[in-house]
Amino acid sequence: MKYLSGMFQGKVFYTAVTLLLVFIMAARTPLDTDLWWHLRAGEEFLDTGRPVMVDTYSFTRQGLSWTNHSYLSQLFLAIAYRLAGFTGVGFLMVLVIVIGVFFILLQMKGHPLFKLPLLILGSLVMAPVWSARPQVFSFLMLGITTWIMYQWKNSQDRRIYRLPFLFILWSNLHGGYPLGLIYLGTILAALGIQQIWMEINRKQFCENREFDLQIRTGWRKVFILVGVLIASYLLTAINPNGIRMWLVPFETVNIHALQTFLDEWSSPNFHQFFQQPFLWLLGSLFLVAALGGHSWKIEDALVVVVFGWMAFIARRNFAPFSIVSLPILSHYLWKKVDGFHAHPFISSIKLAGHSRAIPSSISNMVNLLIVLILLSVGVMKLSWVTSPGLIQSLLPSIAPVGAVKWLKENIPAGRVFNDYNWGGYLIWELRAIPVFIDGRTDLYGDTILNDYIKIIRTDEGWQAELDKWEIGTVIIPPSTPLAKQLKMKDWKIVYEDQRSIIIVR
Amino acid sequence: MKSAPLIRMVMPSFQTMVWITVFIAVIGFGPRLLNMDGDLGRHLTLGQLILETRSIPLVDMVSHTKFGEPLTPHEWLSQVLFALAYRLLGLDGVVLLVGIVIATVFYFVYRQCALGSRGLIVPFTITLLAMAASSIHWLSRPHIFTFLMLVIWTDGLYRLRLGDLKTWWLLPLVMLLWVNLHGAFIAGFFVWAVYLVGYLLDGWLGSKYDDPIHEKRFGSRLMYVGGASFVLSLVNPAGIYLWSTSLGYIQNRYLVSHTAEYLPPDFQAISASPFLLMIILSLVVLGLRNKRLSIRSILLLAGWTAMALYSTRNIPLYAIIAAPILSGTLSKIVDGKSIRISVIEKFRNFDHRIADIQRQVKGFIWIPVVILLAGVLLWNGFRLDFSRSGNRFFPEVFPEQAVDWLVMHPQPGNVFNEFTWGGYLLYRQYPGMKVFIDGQTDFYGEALTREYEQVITLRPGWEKVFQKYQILWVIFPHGAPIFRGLSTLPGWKCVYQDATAEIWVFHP
Repeated sequence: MKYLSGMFQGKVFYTAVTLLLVFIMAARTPLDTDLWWHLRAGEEFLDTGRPVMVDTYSFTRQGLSWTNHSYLSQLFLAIAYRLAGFTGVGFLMVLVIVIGVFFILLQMKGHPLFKLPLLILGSLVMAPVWSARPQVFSFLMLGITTWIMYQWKNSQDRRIYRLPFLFILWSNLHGGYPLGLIYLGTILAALGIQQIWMEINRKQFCENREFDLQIRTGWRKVFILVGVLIASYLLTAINPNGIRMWLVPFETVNIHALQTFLDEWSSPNFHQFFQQPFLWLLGSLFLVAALGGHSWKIEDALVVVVFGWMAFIARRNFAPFSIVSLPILSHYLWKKVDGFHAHPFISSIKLAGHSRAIPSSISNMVNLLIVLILLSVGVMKLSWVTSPGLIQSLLPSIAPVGAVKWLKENIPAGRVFNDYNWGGYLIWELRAIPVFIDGRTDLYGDTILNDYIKIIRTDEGWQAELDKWEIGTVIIPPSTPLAKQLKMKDWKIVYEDQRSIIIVR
Repeated sequence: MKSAPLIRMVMPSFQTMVWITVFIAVIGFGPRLLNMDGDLGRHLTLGQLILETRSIPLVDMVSHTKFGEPLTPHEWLSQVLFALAYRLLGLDGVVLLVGIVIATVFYFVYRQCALGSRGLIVPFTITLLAMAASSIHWLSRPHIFTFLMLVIWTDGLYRLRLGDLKTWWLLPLVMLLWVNLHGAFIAGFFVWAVYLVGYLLDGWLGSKYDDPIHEKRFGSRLMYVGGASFVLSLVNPAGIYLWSTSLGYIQNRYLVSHTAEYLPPDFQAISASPFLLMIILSLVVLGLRNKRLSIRSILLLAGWTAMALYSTRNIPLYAIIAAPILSGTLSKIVDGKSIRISVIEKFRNFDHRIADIQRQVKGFIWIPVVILLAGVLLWNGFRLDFSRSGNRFFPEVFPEQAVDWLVMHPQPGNVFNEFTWGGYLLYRQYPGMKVFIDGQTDFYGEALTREYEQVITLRPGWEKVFQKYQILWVIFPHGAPIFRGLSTLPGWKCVYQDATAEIWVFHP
């Protein structure tokens, strides 16, 4: 007990509190529109022992090859679901998120009490994309990548040679591995610029052997990083999709309908409150830069520029921006804070950070109690938000529960045209009925997505598209233009509730 | 080395060349300015009305939905200027006026950028970037006068800060003009407040001044400027209500979220890239510089960045404010770095020498010459726009042929019209017709805008809006969903259609 309570002092205690607070924030109902098809694919992998690589869930892409880049995450999700239902899925997500945040924490400078609010701010930026989806694994992988690079930059840590192996795991978990390559590429570019600058200044220090050594070491680092970057990219082909994984980032970026149709791929809308933490983080970086005192390293400036640019282009990149910029923010802000010796408040924080805590069984017990309380709150929140009762009450808000029940009891006429967001749920619940579309945008591409948009918005030629795909049944929200149009035509409503409507030809 | 006086007077300064470049760019995109926004027609109509009646309307006179209700004319002076330009040269005159205003804005922006730099390249590049960023909202509407007033206002405050205390009284006069030109005069008070906060914080933080007496005088003059400007801001046709109108609109979440220009920029559009580049550049430049920026500059940059990220219409104002700060900071980095590459070093020295020469030339004469030349060419029917299409409303954008038909076949009763066509319909048909709605949403308010939205989205009960306003005919874009709704109602039929518009009429 003495040993246990001794652990809950100083940095360990603050780190535990920080991670538990993130645990509490991250514990949420694992209901995402895409979760369902991931679960079904994971279950099939579990049952057959082989990942799903051919589409059988839709009739628009039936039988075609599917680059299932998230098969390993799907397997983990399915195992978690089999073991403990939605609580298992929720716990898996929380675990991945907390580990990811831990790797960010390892790179942050300053006293734990100083890191805490920054990490909470970063978590608020990331929170909108903390959903039960394989992309959460990408955030973890990016956190580990930045931590390995942090170690290497500061102490020539040899773990950098393991990075290509991390990318093998990454490309089997999720298609977001280009984030890591972009990060490595950015650091490489910064190192290259630094080296060129030093070469320019070489003349001035021609007699300085130390400077020469510095240049040689710098070039060595550049060559190591070039090698690691190339190896990392090449090794992403080690997965069931083979070298098709190399094309995933290019194929995804080339789907133009993504940007116009999907919220997470669109440019940020700062009128929405949940997107504003990104501005607060950006503003904090801006303020730290404007207050001056310490010139930024080129690599830090470049990382903020590249990931900041990506976040402005598509808000799904808020989380990667937060992951890479939090250590930078803490680094320069701590330097600034550390410089304010005179201010009593800052001094008190610094004192707390650098002084040894007085060994006291009472303070240890209090700390332990705080940790246990936070852990209990986290566990209770997780079990509450993933309880079957709550899931059942929330499910109708994202899925057509009533309509699916009707479809189970009645055989639909012809092929089913469905709302994009409901595709996953239909795949999970109606196993015998293939869907028109679901969240696998890279599988459907511009062709099917544009057909879908034309039909759902009743753009010119929508009826011809319905005929082309031999649609006999439509399951969509009643407020869509398509529902209004079909009601006016010779289609028949066979089911309707507040959220969904089924119309047959 | 001093140039001869005559050469100095004739040789165009770099600042003048910036003016001419921007002027040519604006004139070149004239048709785009006219067709990107639907409000010009309203402004021309009201401007003409003021000129003809020699009075400023304080009640609505152009809609049948709000006819006779009190109206805050917060743009009346701009409308008069637009109408005068239109009387002189038609739509060419409007484009010419916009060109003069925007070019003058960047004339001042460049001047402010150049103040903090030894060379030409950095201020010129940043001015170009600011131009590109602000071009997202270069439109033929009163908003452009806020660009001009803001740059003059910040220029005045900056000069006050530098020690030019005697001319402080000019700033309240600028505000007097501003409140009558456009409702965004509040931007001026925001900048003033930042100067005040910066001044107070500098004092609180105990910054050491070179001249403490000047600092004290600056503080008092700043207070005079604020006080006198507030008093003079009440000298407008609506008095104190102008403040409540301007502040009330931006506080209305529904209207703000339903007005395109108030939405955040779409960074996937190429037009927003210069703005994004400015944000990123400011972050990098500040990061790479190890000296603290003044509190004033930090607050100005941070405040306007946030406002521009919140609403696209603030991007030009951000560009005007941010460019000098960015240019000054970047110049200090560029000028302060020791570069070992002889070519770059020589180029930098050359840049500094040219800048020194440029500071001595005063060739303002070229500005009136260019304006006169453009005016004469436009008067004689030359098309100066890059597309050679001439300054006109495009029939693909506005219902030109449909209104031609309406001229031949006037329709009785109240109309339900497309929101963005309200201004054009007034421009062509007023006083013969009054619209349901047009671009002045701050006047029409949330209730009417919601009713308009209810109809165009065919939400349940939309027919009741028609009954309430006794709508007898509809003019909307070809194929609009509203016509599907009308086709289900008895008595409505299409009487005119072309590729742009359809007109439906109710026959009981």
